[in-house]
Amino acid sequence: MPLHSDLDVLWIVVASALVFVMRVGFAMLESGMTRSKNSINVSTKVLTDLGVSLLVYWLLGFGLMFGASQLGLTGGSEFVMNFKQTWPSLFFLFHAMFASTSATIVSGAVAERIRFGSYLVITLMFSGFVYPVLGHWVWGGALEGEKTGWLVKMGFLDFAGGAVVHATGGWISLAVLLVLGPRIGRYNEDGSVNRITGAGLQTSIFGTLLLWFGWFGFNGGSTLAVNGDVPGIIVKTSLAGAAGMIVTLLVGWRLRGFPDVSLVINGALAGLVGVTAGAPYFNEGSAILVGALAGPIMLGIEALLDRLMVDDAVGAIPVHLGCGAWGILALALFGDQALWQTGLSRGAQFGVQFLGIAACGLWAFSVSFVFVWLLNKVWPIRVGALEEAQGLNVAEHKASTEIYDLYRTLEDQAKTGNLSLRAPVEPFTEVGQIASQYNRVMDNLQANLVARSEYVSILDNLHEGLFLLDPDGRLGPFYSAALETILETEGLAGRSLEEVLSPLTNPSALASWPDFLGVLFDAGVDDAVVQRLNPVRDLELTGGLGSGGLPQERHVQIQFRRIVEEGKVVRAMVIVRDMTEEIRLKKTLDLQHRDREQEMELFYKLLHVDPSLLSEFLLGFQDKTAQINRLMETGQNAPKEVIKQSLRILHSIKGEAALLELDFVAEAAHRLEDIVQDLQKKKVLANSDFLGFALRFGEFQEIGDRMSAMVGRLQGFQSSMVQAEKAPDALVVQLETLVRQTAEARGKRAELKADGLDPAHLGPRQAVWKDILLQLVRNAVVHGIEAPVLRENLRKPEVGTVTVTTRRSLGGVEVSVRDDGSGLDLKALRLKAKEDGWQDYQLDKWTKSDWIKFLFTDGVSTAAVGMEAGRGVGLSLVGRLVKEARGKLGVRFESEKFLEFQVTLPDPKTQG
Amino acid sequence: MTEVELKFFIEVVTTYFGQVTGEEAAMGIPYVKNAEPVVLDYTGLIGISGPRKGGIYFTAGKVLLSELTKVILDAEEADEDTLLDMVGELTNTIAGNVRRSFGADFLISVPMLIKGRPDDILVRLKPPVFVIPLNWHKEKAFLVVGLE
Amino acid sequence: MKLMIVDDSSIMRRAIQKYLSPLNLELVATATNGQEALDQFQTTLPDLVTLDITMPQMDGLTCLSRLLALKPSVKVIVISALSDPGTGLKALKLGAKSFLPKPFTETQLVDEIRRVAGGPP
Repeated sequence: MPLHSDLDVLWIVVASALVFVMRVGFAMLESGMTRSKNSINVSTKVLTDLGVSLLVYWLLGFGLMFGASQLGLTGGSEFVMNFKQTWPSLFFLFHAMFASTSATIVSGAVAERIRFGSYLVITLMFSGFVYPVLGHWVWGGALEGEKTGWLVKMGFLDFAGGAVVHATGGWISLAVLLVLGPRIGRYNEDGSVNRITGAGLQTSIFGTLLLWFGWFGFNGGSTLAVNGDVPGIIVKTSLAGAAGMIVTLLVGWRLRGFPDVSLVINGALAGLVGVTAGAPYFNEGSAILVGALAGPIMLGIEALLDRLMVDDAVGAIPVHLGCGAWGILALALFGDQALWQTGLSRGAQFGVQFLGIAACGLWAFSVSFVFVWLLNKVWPIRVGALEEAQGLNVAEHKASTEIYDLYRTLEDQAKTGNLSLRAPVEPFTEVGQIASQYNRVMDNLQANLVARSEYVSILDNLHEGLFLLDPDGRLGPFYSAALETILETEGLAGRSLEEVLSPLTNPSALASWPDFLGVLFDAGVDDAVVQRLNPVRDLELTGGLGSGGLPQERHVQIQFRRIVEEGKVVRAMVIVRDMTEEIRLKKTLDLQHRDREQEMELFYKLLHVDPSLLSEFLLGFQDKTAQINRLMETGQNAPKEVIKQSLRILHSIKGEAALLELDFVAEAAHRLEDIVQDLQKKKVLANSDFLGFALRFGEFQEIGDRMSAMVGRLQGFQSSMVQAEKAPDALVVQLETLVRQTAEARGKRAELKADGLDPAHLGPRQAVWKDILLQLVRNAVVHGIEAPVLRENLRKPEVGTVTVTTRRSLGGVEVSVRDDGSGLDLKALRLKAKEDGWQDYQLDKWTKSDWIKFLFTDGVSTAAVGMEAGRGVGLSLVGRLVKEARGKLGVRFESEKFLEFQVTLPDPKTQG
Repeated sequence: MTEVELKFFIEVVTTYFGQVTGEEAAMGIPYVKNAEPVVLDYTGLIGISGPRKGGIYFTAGKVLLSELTKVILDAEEADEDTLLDMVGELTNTIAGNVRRSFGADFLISVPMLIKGRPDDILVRLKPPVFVIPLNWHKEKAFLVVGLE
Repeated sequence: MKLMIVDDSSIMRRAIQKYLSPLNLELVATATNGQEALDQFQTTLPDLVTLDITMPQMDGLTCLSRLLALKPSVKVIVISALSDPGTGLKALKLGAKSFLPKPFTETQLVDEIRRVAGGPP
């Protein structure tokens, strides 16, 4: 046992303390290189394995390593040693620090997925068995200043543990990693590597500096005495570290394209580890050379491990195993042979060194691999995937960090989509500020999304179809769910409305759509006009299926609201309503109400209409309906023409009726127009298709008849209210007005001669007589009196006259209406009769009374028949009235001279 | 008066022609004619009373009826009585069908047969009176319906 | 302002005239069809025209473009059937200032004329 001075003691204690500081370095290095969710776990392992390794080393390891040698393979005494003596205590202190440092190398490699408990068990195995046995081989007998281990006896040199501490730590790391497997997400399927960035590389740098500092004691203390070598060892150690760092940086920078932080960290460590085994034996140059070469070796092994998908979290294997082994071999290559004191040649020394490092690997790797493999079978050494993802801080220690809590919130939000989650905010910290900012972002986002979701829920629950239309006529991306239902079409976003509607409706309904689109988006056109011109306001959809799967005709209403920005129509809001039910109900109601209300309305309206306009309207009405009838009767072979003309006539009736606010007439005319338009749309038109029209038209005509009847009743009522003498005057005035207006309207001149008209003669049949007189007088002006030019040619007075005379006869009243017009065109009358289906042989047999009867049928008039379509309704009305009163009709005429109608009606009382 | 009813009347007549002669009568464009609707040589008239009032008549010219009779009877010439019978037969068919299909609403009179131009054929028809022109073998006939 | 009324119905012409009488318009011409309208227009050159589209002889649209060719500043209000927005759209495209469907009421007509004439509301 060599003697040791107090100074030696002091230095070894200080050196031990420096080695202890390396643990702080390791804790910082590892926690900085791993993710923050594991940082606490990583540091905790470094602290805990100190405790475990110290105790087990004292209990077992030290004895195995430095106890009395058993065949040079292992020590067998000094277990559970006491520290009464200085040197053994000092020796224990220094080597206990070494042992636990070696153990802690493993912690970095296996970080981020090993189970905490398993790690401690592995540390037990490491510090209590694998490390001490190997240490005995290399350093056995050192306590007593002897060489008892089998390797050291062969001349194997390892000054400060390049093999014992570093390579062994590396070998065990490798064994554990092979069982443990890579971290989740570290390698892709194609073998490429995903960089896992450490949470705080600056911490790793501080850790590296501390490790470097600790190395002063690690290598400098390995002399186990204070002597002149110590400063040199420390300097050479640092030079190697520096060279390793710089070369690694340069090589890595070149390879990776940027100065990766891990290059300087692991480069420095690589140099330091490389020089450890032979620090005293290297001169300055070889120390630098060894350190410099350690760097590329480290990088090579690192690449090799990644190729093999061995995931070393901090690069422990490349640094400690790779460079540790390199240092052992470099000692034989570059060390000062004289200082070895083994008596071996450089080649032999290299062989011993190689054998040693191989034996070291074989022992450390195989024993620990078998042990860990078995342990894993009994008690899986790896945490579950969820725990790994969650991070070991929380999974193993329930220890959270602010940044972790923030991650958690983000992760939960990503998983659940629950935007109401907020990150916990710790005031006064950076993470707290980030969390608070993040929460504000989330508040805004959530507010916007909530607002949006309100719109969406409105769109989902609307009964109407709602969307925005762009100037190209396309639908916007959002529209109400009901739109798809109403239009029975899905996926409407971005489609053109015309294209969507066209399969659903009659093509003619969309013919003017492009024009409308232009007007809709033309801000210069008044909105009210746009609304009026909307061609799809009431759109009939065909092809849909109703209940029971039967094709059902549906009605939709499409309305447009322009959205104006800066004087331009940028979009239109479109509302689509299904009106099928409303229209059906309306139709039913209309039918029910129409009959009931019509009489009242009729009465009321007639009272309010200007009498002269009304009588003109009624005459026109009868005229026009008769025209339509004649069209149908005579247009048997030209249905298209019938439709065209009817539509025009109906339209004019409608217009005039609306003007006089005779809404029921206008509406009825409108309904008829609709029917005719439907006929017009038919490609193939059968005569039977006209039935519906004929029926409605018959009803329409009845409206006219009812109006006439009511006007008659009103007049009768009026005349009974007015004094008897005045009533006839009123009749004369009316007839005069009629003559004047009718003549004016037709560009003729005519006057009434009523000298022979004695109203007293008319008796109780006032109303009937009035109708008859109105018709006959009107007929005389319209068909009898010629145009002024014609009269001039015929040398007749310019002003035509219509003379009305009355006469009491036996049991009745006789009235004559005579005009000085063109008379009766018998040839035309005969033609007309033949047109109606009469044959010549029949007409030859007609008596005068047959002719008169014919004259008073619908569609026949005293004018040139057939030239002016549809005149002659007046006479048929007279014919009917006369027949109803069982009266007689007579006609006298002379061509181009005069035409006289004689009507005799019997007194009502003489009739029984 | 509904379209269904009107169609029914027309169908009875057109199919009568079809069944009896193999050539259906074709209908023309129907029209309304309240006063003095057309009456040809021979006319068969049915009055209808009860809840629905009015009448229906079928009228045809001599030529059409003669041809019809010839086709049915394979006879050379038809005298006036035969032609009247022919119209009667057609009118009875209409009446029978109406009775069978409309029942209670239509109380049908015994068909009345008229030759030539009657004085007041319109008495029994209620306006609006619908005239349905019929064509058969290029000859004209008319079905005239005036029902409440 | 000079006004011309074009409509084939005499009732319609009279009514339009009556309805518009409270407005300060000078009725310079009435016409019953397109050709007549054109003839009258050439001599009177009105500022404002109510034009019926459904007329016999020359149709309203042809008449409209001729009127505008004669006097581009003329304000034409087209009056047409309710059931026919296509014609109205064509008329606007041709240069009509407004479109009023038949049937219309007095108020509607007056409002429309006032709007087009640019007078006080």
